[in-house]
Amino acid sequence: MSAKWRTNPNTNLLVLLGLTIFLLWYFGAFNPRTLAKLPNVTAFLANAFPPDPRPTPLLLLSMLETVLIALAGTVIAVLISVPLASMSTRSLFSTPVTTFFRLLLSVIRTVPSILWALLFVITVGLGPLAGVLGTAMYSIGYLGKLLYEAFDVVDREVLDSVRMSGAGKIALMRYVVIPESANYIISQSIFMFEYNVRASTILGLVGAGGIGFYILSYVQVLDYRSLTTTLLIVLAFVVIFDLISSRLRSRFLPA
Amino acid sequence: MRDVSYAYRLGKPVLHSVNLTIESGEVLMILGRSGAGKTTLLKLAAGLLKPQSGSVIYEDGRLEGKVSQSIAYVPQKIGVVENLTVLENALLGALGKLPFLTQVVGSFPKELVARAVEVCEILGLGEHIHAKARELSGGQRQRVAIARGLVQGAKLVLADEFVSQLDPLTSLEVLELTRELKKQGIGFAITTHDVHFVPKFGDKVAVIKEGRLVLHSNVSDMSVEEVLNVI
Repeated sequence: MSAKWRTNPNTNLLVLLGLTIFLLWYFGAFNPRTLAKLPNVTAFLANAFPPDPRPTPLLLLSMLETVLIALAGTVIAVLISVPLASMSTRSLFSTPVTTFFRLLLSVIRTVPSILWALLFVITVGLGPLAGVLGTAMYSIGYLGKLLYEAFDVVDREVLDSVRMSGAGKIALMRYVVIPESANYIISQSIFMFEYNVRASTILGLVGAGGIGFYILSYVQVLDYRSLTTTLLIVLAFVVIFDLISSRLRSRFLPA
Repeated sequence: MRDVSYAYRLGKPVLHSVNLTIESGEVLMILGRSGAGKTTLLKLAAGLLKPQSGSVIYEDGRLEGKVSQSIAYVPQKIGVVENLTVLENALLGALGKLPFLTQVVGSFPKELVARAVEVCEILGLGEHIHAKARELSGGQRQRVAIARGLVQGAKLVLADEFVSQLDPLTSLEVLELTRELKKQGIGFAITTHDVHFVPKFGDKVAVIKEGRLVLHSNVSDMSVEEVLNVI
C-alpha cells in the first residue's frame, strides 16, 4: 500500500502543496498584517527601477575586490586542505589519526564563511583581509571533505605496489594519491572558487570587504536604484564565473 | 612460506597451511580457479598481509606484514600511477633508497635517474620515458610496473594475473621479458588462469584449490593435461 502511495505522482504533488501552504501559514505569510504589506513590494519595485548607472565604475572595482577575496581564500584553502585531507585518508593513516582530522574539518565546516569573516573582523580588523581569511577557513573544511573522499578511493593496489619500494606515507601521498586525484583536486578547487565568488558578495555585510558593503549601504539609505545596479553586477559576475567554471571543470572530470 | 594460513576478517579461511618456496632466478606459475586464494597468497608473500598462523621468510628474515625492498609486487590492475610519466613511475621504485626529506621533495640523485632511464631502455620503453602512463598500451604499462621493480632492485617479482588483460601477442612479449630477467637472478611468481603459458615460461608450477596448495612441482615433471586435472 505504501509503495502504491509513493508512486502516485498526483498524491505526492498534493502532499507537497499542502506542506508548503502549511509552512507558509506557520511562518505568518497569511497573517492579515503581512498581507497588508503586499503593496510595499510594488512600491519597492517602482523605486528599484530603472537601475542607477552612476555608481557602476565603483561597483565594478568593488566586485573585482570580491573576486580577489574569493581567489585568495580559495588558494589558501587548497594549500591547507590538501595536507589536512591527506591526514584524513583511511588507506594511509590509522583510524585515530583520520578520525581526528575528519572531526577537525567537520568543525571548521560547521561555521559558515560569513561567521568566520565576522570572527576575523574582530581579530584582524575591518577590510578584505578578514574576508580572505573567513573564505579560506570555510573552504578548508568544505574542500578538505571533498578531497579526502576522493583520496579514499585511490586504488589500494597502486598504493600497495608503490609501498613495496619502501615509500613512506608522505611519499605515497605525494607520488600516488595526489597525482591520481589531480584532476579531481583541480575540478573541486575551481568549483570552490565559483562558490566563493557567490559567498564573498555578502562578506561586506560584516565589514569584511567586497561588494557586500555597498549592498548593505544602499539598503540602509533606501537607495534601491543603486541596489538594483549592484545586484545586476553581482548577477552578471556570478553567471560568467559559473559558465567559466563549468567549462574548465568539464576538462578535468571524466566524460 | 611455512604453514601459512589466512582469513579475512569475519570471513572463511582463504588459505590453509600453505608451504611454498620461490627460488631466485626461476619463474613460478601459480594456477587456480577464481577465488582459490592466489591473490591472497601473493600479498602474503609480499608482506602486505600478515598470516594468522605460519611464517613468511625471505632470505632468512621474517616478513609477515612488513615489506622488503627486494620484493616487487605487480597487482592485477598493474599498479602504475596514471598521471606520472614512465620515468617518474620507474623512479618510484627508488623511493626507499632516499632519505625522508629527499623522498618528499622528490630530488632523485643523478645516478638513480640514469639507472631508471637505463632500465626503461632495456624494457623497450626508451621512446616513451616522458609519456604519461595513462597514454600507454596495456603491455607497455606492464613493462613500466616491471621497470619500477627493477629500479627498486627487486630480486623477486610477485605478479598477480600478470597478462590477463593483454592480447595473446603482447602477453607473449611481456612473458619473454621474464626469461631475460631471470638470467639476471630475478625470480618471478606469477598467478595466471592460462595453463598454456606454464610449459613455455614456467620453471615450477603450483596449484591452489580452495585455499590449499594441491600441487607444487617442476614444470618439466608435469604435462598441461596433468596440471589441468589438478585444477
